[in-house]
Amino acid sequence: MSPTSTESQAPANSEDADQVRGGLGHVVRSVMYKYALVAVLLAVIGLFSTVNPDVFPTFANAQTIASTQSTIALLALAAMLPLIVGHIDISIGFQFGLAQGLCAYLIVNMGTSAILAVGAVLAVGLLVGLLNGVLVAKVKLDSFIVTLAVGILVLGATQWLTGDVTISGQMPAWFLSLGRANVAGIPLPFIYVVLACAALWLTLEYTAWGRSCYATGGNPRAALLAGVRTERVTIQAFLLAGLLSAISGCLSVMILGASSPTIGLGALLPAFAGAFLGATSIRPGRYNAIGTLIAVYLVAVGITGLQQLGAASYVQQLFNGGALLIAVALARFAATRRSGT
Amino acid sequence: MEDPVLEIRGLGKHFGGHTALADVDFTLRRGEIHALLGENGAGKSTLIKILAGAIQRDTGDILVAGEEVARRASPADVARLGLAFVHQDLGLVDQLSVAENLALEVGYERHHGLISFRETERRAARLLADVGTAVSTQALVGDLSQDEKVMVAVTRAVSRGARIIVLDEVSASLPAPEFDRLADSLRVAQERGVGYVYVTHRLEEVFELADRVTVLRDGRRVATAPVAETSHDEVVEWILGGALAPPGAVDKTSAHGQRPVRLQVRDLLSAGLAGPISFEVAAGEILGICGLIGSGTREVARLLGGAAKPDRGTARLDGKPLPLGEPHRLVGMGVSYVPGSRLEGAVPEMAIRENFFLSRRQGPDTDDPFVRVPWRERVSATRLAEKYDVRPRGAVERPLAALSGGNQQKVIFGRALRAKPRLLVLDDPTAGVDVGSRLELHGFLRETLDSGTSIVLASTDFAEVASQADRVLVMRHGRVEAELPRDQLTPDGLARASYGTPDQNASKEDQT
Ligand SMILES: Nc1ncnc2c1ncn2[C@@H]1O[C@H](COP(=O)(O)OP(=O)(O)OP(=O)(O)O)[C@@H](O)[C@H]1O
Ligand SMILES: [Mg+2]
Repeated sequence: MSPTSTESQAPANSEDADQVRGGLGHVVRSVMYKYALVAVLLAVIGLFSTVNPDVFPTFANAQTIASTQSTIALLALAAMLPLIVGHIDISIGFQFGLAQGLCAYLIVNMGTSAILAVGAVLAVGLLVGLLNGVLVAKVKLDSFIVTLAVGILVLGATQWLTGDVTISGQMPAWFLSLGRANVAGIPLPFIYVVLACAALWLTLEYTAWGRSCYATGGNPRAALLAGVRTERVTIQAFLLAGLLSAISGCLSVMILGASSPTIGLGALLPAFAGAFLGATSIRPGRYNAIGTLIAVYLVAVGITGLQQLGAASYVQQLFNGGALLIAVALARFAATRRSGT
Repeated sequence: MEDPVLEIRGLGKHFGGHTALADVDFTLRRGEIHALLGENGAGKSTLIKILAGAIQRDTGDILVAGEEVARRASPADVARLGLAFVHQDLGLVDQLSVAENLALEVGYERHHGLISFRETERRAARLLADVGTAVSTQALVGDLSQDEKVMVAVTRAVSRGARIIVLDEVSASLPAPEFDRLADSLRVAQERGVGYVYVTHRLEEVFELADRVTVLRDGRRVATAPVAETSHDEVVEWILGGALAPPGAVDKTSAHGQRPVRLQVRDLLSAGLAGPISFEVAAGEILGICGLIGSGTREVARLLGGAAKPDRGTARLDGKPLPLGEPHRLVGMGVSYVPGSRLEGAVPEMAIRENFFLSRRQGPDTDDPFVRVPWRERVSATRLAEKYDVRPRGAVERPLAALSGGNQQKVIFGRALRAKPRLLVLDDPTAGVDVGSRLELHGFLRETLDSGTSIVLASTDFAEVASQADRVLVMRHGRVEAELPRDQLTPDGLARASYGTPDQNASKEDQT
C-alpha cells in the first residue's frame, strides 16, 4: 500500500501476526463481557431452581414473570432511545401513568370504544414526546430539566383526569385478552415486548437511522458536519419514547383491567435501571435493545426468586439498586482493562 | 549539556495483542530540544502518555534527574518531578477564560487572601507576552481557534517552570510564521535549562529547532542522532524505513478558465471576517487559502463546509445556491468537509467501520441508503482503511479512539473523499499525518480532481498549499489581500504574503 518502501510492508504484517497471537485471549475476553449478563441470568435461574425446586422452576412462574415485567420492559426500551441520542427522558414514568389513566378513563368513564381509546392514548403519547423533543432539540434546553418539568405537568394532568383514584370497570373481553391470553403457552404481552425489542434492535443496528442516532449521541458536532440531521433524530427519539410509554400504559390496563395512580412512578426507576444495565452487555458501552431486555428480566427473576423465598418487598429496591451499581462498576473496570490502563 | 535530565530504558507497552512500544531507550539532556519522530502509530504518543502517568508501562525504567519514577506514578507525581505536557488534545478547560486556565496551573493571584482577578489577569497577560501569544486574557478558551489554544497550552506548560516540557504535535496547525514565534519562545526557556521533547510530523521544524532526533518505527527505536550530523533525507529514511518516493510531479495542467466554473462565492460575510469575500473555483481546480492564525482562512472553510452560518452572501455550486449553515443539505448537494479540528470530525467511541459510514448519504454502497449490513460494511470499510493506509490493518471493528492521531485523521479524510463530492472543503486535512502518508493523501486529492471535483484547501501548512494548489488566496485580518497564481507559489512566498511584508506591497488599510 505504501508507495514509499518495500520494507514498511514487513512491520505491518508482523503487526497483524501479533494480533492473531494475542487475539484469541482477547476474543475470549470480549465474548465474556458481551454475554456476561446472559450468563448471570442463567446462573440466577439455576440458583433459585436448586434452592426452591417446587416453586421457582415452574412454567406458571415463568409465565408470570414474562407477563408482569412486559410493561417495565417496554418502558426500559422507551428510556433507552433518548439515552442513545445523548439525552435523558425522565418523563416516561409519568407518561406511562397518563397513558394508563387516560386509557381506563376513556373506556370505563366515557364508554369510548377500546380501539379509539388506544388510538387517542398513542396520539397523546406522541404529542408529549414531540413536546420534549422540540424543547430539547430545537430550543436547546437541558433534557433533564425539560423532561422533569413535562413529567410533572403530565402527572398533574393525570391526577386531574383520574381524580387520583383507581379506575376499574367494564372493559371489552377482547381488549383484556390482549393482555392476558397466551399463544402456545407464551403470554401475549411478552410477545409484544420481544417484537418491539427485535424491531428496535434491527433499526438501531442495521439502518442508517440507527447509525445516525448513535453518532448523534457519541459526538453531535461530528455527526452534524457529516450530514446527520441531529435535531430531527433527537426529536424522533423522544417521539418514540413517548409512543412506547403510551403502548406500555395501554398494555398495563389490558393486563390489570384497571388503572392505578401509583404505578407510573414505581415503573420509572426499574426502567432506567434496565436501560443502564443493558448497556453493559451485548454491545458493551452502548445502550442497546437486547441488553436492555435481558437486564430487565435478570432483575425481575432475581427479585421474584428472593420474594418466593420469603424476602420482604423492600428487597426489590435493594436488588435493583445493587445490581445496577455492581454492573456499572464492572463495566467501568472492563473498559479500563480494554484501554490498557 | 552533559547530564541527562530524563532517561528512559527498555520501555515496552502492549495494547491487547498489539505491541505499541518495545525496548525503547531515550535520553533528554539539560536544555536540549529533542525531536521524537516516527510514522503515524509508531508509538510517540504512547511513550508520552506513559511518561505523563496517564497509562502504565509494561516494562522498562524511567529516571528523572537520576531519580527512578515508579511504575504506578500518578500524573500529579510526575508533575512534581518537573515534567509538563502539552498533548494533542491540549487539556484546557473550554468553559474558563485564558487567565483562569493559566491560573489552574500556577494558582490565582491573591490579595488579602482573596482571589484577585485583576492581578491574575495581569500576570496571565505577562506570561502570554513572554511566549509571544496575542490572545485576550479574558477570552473563553472555548471561543479560541485551535491554534490559539495551542499557544495558551504552551504558555501554561512554560509558566509552570518545569524542567522538562513535552510537546506532542503542538505545531500541527500552526502556520510557519507562528511556528517561528513559538520556536523563539522555546529557545528562551531552553536557555534557562529547560529540556524539550518535541513531537512533530513537519521535518523542517526539526532542522530549525531541535538539537537531536530520535526516530521510532513500529514501536522500536531506529535511530538517535544530533541534528547537525544528519540530513532531511536520512531522517525520512529512518521514519519510513526507505526513501520517500519523489512526489510524482504534480500535474497542474487543469488551467483555470478552460474548465467551467463550479463554485461561485459572492460577498460572503460573517463575524469572523472583516469584509465580504468573493471568489470562484473551477471544476478540477484546487483553490488554496492561507494566512496567519485568525486571518479568516479557517472561517471561510467553516462557512463552505457548513460548520458556521454566514450573516450575508451566497455561494453557488453549478449555479444552484448552497444552503450554507445546513450541513445535511450541503452533504446532500455533494459537499464534503474535513473540519480543522479532529474533535469535529469523528465519533471516538464508535468503530472505525461506523465512522467511515456515519450519515445516510455516506453509506457503503449508494444503492440502498437505508439498510446497513455490518458484514457488507466491514468489507467496504476494510477496503477503505487499506486504501487510506489506516493502521493497524484489518481492525475496522475497533473504536476509532484506539487509533493514533494521524490514523484517525486518515479515516476522516477518507470518508470525505469517498463520497465523490462535487465540492471538497478541506481545513488542514493532513494535520498530524506523517510524511509518507501525506504524499499519498495528496495523490488522492489529484485523483478526485480528475472527476471534476472542485477543492477549497485552507491549510496552515504553507508547503502543502504551495505544492497542491492551482491558485492561492492570501488572507490577512479577515480579508483577502492577495491572489497568487500558480507560478508564484512557494512556501516562503506564501509566508511573506501572509505576513504582509513590505515587498509584497501590502495594502494600507489592514494595519489595524
Ligand atoms: N487505547 C488504545 N487501545 C489500543 N491500541 C492503542 C491505544 N492507544 C494507542 N494504540 C495503538 O498503539 C500504537 C501507537 O499509537 P500512538 O498513539 O502512540 O502513535 P503515534 O506515534 O503518536 O502516532 P501519530 O503520529 O498518528 O499520533 C498504534 O498502533 C495505536 O493503534
Ligand atoms: Mg500521536
